Order: sequence, then C-alpha cells, then structure tokens
Amino acid sequence: MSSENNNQQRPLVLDIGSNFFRLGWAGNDYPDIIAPSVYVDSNDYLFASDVIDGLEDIFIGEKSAENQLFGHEALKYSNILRVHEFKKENNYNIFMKFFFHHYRQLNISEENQFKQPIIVITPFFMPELEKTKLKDIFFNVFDFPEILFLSESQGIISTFQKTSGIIVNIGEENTYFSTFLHGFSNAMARDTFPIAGKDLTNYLLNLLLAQISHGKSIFLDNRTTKEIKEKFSLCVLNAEEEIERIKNGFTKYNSSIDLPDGTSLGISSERFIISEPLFNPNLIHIDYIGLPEAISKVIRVWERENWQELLSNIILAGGGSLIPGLEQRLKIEISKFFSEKLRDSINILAVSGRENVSWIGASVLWAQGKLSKGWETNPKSSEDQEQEDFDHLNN
Amino acid sequence: MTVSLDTKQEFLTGFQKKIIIARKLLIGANHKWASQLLENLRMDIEKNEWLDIQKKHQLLMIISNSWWMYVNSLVRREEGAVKTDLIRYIDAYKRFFSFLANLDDFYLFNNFGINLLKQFIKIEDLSQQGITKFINSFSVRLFKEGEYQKLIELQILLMFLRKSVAPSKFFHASLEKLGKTILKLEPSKRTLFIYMILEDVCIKYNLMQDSSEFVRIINKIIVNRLPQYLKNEFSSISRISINERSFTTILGDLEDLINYLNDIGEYSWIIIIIRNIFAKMQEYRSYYCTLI
Repeated sequence: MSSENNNQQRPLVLDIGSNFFRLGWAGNDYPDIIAPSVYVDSNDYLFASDVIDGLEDIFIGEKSAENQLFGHEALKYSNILRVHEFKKENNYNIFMKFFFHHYRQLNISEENQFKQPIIVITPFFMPELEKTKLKDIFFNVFDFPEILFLSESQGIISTFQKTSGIIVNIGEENTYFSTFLHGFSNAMARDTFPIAGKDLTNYLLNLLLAQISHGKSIFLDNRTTKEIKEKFSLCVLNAEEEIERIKNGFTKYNSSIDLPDGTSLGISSERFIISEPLFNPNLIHIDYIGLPEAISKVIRVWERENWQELLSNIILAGGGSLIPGLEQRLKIEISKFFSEKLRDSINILAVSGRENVSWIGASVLWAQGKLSKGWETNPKSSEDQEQEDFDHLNN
Repeated sequence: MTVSLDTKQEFLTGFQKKIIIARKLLIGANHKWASQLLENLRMDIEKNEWLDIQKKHQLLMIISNSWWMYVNSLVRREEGAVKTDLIRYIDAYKRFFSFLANLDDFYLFNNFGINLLKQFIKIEDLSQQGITKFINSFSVRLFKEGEYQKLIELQILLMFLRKSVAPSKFFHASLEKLGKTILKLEPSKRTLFIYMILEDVCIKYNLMQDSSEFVRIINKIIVNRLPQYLKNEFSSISRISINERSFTTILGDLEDLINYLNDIGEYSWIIIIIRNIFAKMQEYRSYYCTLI
C-alpha cells in the first residue's frame, strides 16, 4: 500500500503537443497515455441538414449542451462531428477537461488525487502568458502542489545523454531548432522554421487533388490526406532526378491508396515531392530559406571551433521528422553549407519513437534526480503550510 | 435507349459492391464517406438514361433501406434497457432525410418522417423547442409539395405536443386551407367536418384513449388564435358528442358529408372521415356495419 502510495506521488510528466497529448509517471519508459489532442462537441455536426431540424434538442436536450468527447473517443466520431484541436484553438477550458479526463484514466487513488507535482514540457517559444494560464489551471483549478516547466530541448538532449547538439523538432504545428553546447544554450542559437507537419499535409492534398483527372469522382479531406502522408511520404536525395526516372518508366514509387469508399487513388512522385517544401519553402509560397540552411545558420551562431561538436549531434525529433529518408537528405544538404573538413563529422540522430522523445527525456531527467531546480510551488499550499505552522506555534 | 446486357450487368454489379461498402462504412460510423458514396450512387441512378423507372425506384429503395436498416441497428436493447448512440443516430437521420429529400418520391420522405414522429410522441419529457423545430422543418417540405392535409394534421399534432400554438407561416397556411375547404361545405356540416379532422390526428398518432377529450383540448388551445372565418365553426365543436348511442345518428350525417365532399370535388378529405368511421365502428364493435 505504501509503495503504491509513493508511486502515485511521483511527478507526472505532461507534454501538450498540437498533435498528441502525452501524460505519464516520471521515471517510466513511455508515456502512460498518448492521446490525440482533439475533442468533439456532441452538438457540432459536420453535416448541417436543411431538411430536418430539432433532432438534437429532442434526443440530447438542452441540459447537456456542452457534451464533449476527448482524444481517442473523439476520433471515433471524426466522420460525424467536427474535430477540434484545443491546442491550436488555445482553448484552455477544453484543455482543463481534456486533462482531467485523461488524469482519471491513471487510476489514482482517492487520497492521492492532485497530490503529484507536474512537469510540463514546453517549447522555448512558449509565451509567459500561456505558462501563467497553465499555472492557474494546475494550481487553482486542480490544486496540484508544484509545477515545473521543462524545456523540450533539455528533455530531448538528455534522452541521448548528450551535452552538446542541435535539436530539430518537426511538429504538427511548429518546427524549431535549439542548440546546446556543454549543457548550455544560447538564446541566439535557436530558431523556428515556418513549415511544419500541417503544411506538408496541405501540400500533399493539393498535389493529390491536382492529379485527379476530371470526371473522376474522388473525395479527399485533410484527415485522410494526413493518414496518406504518414503512410506513404518519403524523402529522396534528388527529387528532380527521380521525377525524370518516373517519366522514363520507373515504377518503384507507384502505390495505390484504397480510399474508404472503395475507390483507389494512384500515387507516385507525390510521395517524395511532399517533403520538398522543407528544402524549398517557395514551393508552398513561403519566402524563407530551406531547413538545412536554417539549421546551418543556427550552428553558425556559435564559435567556429564548436561547429564540429554540434554537427556530430543533430537530433531529429517530433512526428514530422518520421519521413523515411529525411535524415540522409538532411545530411547531404547540410554538408553543402560547411567546409569539407566538417562534412565528415555531420551525424544525424533519428531514433525510432522520436515523436515521444521529449516526454521520455523529461522522465529520464527526473529519474536521474536532475530536476531539483526550477519548481514553482502552489501559493495555496504554502499559505496552508504557513497557517499550519502558525497554529502549531499557538498550540 | 438500348445498351448491351454487359453494360447493364456491370452497372448493377458495381452498384451492389458499392452498397456493400457503404453499409460497412455506416457500421464503422463513417457517415461522411458513406453518405458521399450513397449520394454518388443516387446521382448515378438518376442520370442513367437506360434504366427504366421501375428499376430506378428499386435501386433507390435499396439505398434508402440501407439507411433505414442502419438507423434501426443503432437502437439496441441490452438487459431490458434501450441503448442508442445518439450522436450516430441523429446524424444518420439527418443524412437519411437529406437523401430522401433529393428523391422525386415524396411518399418515402413522408413515410419515414411520420414514422420518426410517432417515435417522438412516446418520449415522456419531449423538448418543446425540438419538436417545434422538427415539425416545422417537416412542414416546409409539405408546404412545398402542396400537401395541405398533412400540414394541417402536423400543426394540430404540434399544438397538442406543445400544449400551445406555435404561430408560424405553416400554422396560418393550414388554417387558411381549412377555412377555404369549410367555406365550400354547407353550414350544418362544417363543425362536424372540423371535429373529424381533429379527431383523426388523435386516432392516427394514437395520442389519447378518448378522442373527444383530444378534440376538446385542441379546441381550448386554439380558441384564441383562430381567424374570424373559423371562430363560429370551432365554437360549436363542444356541442358534438359521439358515443355508442349517438353514433348511428351521426353516421348518417357523416355519410352525407362524404357524399357532399365527393360532389364538390374534395375527395382527399373523404379518406379521413372513412378512417374515423372505421375506428369508431371498431371501438363500438359494430362489425356488422363495418362489413356493410
């Protein structure tokens, strides 16, 4: 009983991603809960009927007007109800309910409810206002005792047991780089990149819609396209060369996608063209340098003698980095921005399961006892403590 | 238009395959794709020039049955309790009715609509707002189709369910139609005619055991909302009393009314009166008369 009690008073690591929400006990190898960061409202139907009206009122009634489903449960209705992403909407009210819904799934005993410190993984660009709102939720609404905002990069780098390196985190909503040298970071040596997973999905949707011939009735939406992207996307070393080969009859990239309605869609060069905007943002009308150049710029912020150390530890993280072949292409493209001497030292680390790497890093850091600083205490609990001390003195 | 047998066969095989896929999609709660597929199928059938009307109707019936079967499958009885996935149920109905509204066949739309309405009547704490919205949205279609009898029927039903009048253009249109028909009748038959129309709603939707009480309730609800041209007729309703003893006398009046309606070309109302007579005869066990 006592060991269970101790177990349930361990900190909880929370990663609120745009795509996935991860929650679990610090010290574990893997998040206990990985849920899509989505919710649906039972009154918000995709299909708006102009033929019959009033069914919602009759069946559901006005009392349960706010009836939401979260995460995996929400996705069950993704073809009926409008799927919302609370992170993108900055909807803290929903986040609160979403968190509580998943917190209950941890089966924490009654006496240990809301007794755990919380480690929140944050990207470096998270505004103070957002942190304040999270603190307000965890302290005032749930009454957790302590909170720690841990930099995502710090978590990632600790997973690899490195002290120097550059983290390239390609998420669904944001892409950013962050560098560390001997455990220190530099505010100048980090940057965001304007292309993330959602932009690639939109690009693929455009590519697919463009290739559907007239008269062929194919129905595609963003969610299906995202699934196609996750299954079929590739990154090749030279896209133009591969397109030329396809024109000459090369069939290696040909795939057929079976859509839910029984129709099938052929896909070929689109599989690798999808990753090209990362190297040439102009393709999606974004006036910016490519990912390799942006990475090299961030490295160049440091002194020249440190470049080798940083180049040998380029860490890919985030779900958007799962495109097969991305690391090889990045290696070649990054090498173009450095001297021949440095080229050999370029090493890209792309481990499997890298979409969860920041959560795992935070968990590891706690297990190693390296998270003793930076905790913020719930003002309410310190007030309670003071009151207790005061009562004790009086007695 | 003549087409080869192979083309026909190919079309029908394709149709069958797509129906199976659509049913699987429905079971998997993939309404968006299923309705897209079924809508495409409907359009394929309707734009097809070589399918005869009967075959088209048959194929459209297969599609509407797919929806109907799915909607019914969502209502499950587990350990004596009825469990329904309301999100799927509501959306499926909305999409189903949208499909039916696109068909030329109003009969199907009306039938399924009435069927659903009968289910609502059984709900104990029925939302007034919901049922008003539902009946009025259904009335839009009836109004468009010129189905004024059904419009009157639904507006009476709505009054009963709400226990009040919901003034809308459909309510006024239904009274207007009723008024126009009444003006064609000889004055002594008008109140009886209105009585029959009101009572029919009670019988058709099985609203109350005592249909004369139903007529009394409706009369009370509507009395202050009546236009001038209907006031007299409605005010005399309370004088009509149909029971086992008075029925034989009233039957004669009803026969006259039927003949009168037939003479002035208002045949469509006759069925309502016959339905009422039949119900009364069953109630009073006048099987002999029923046979006659």
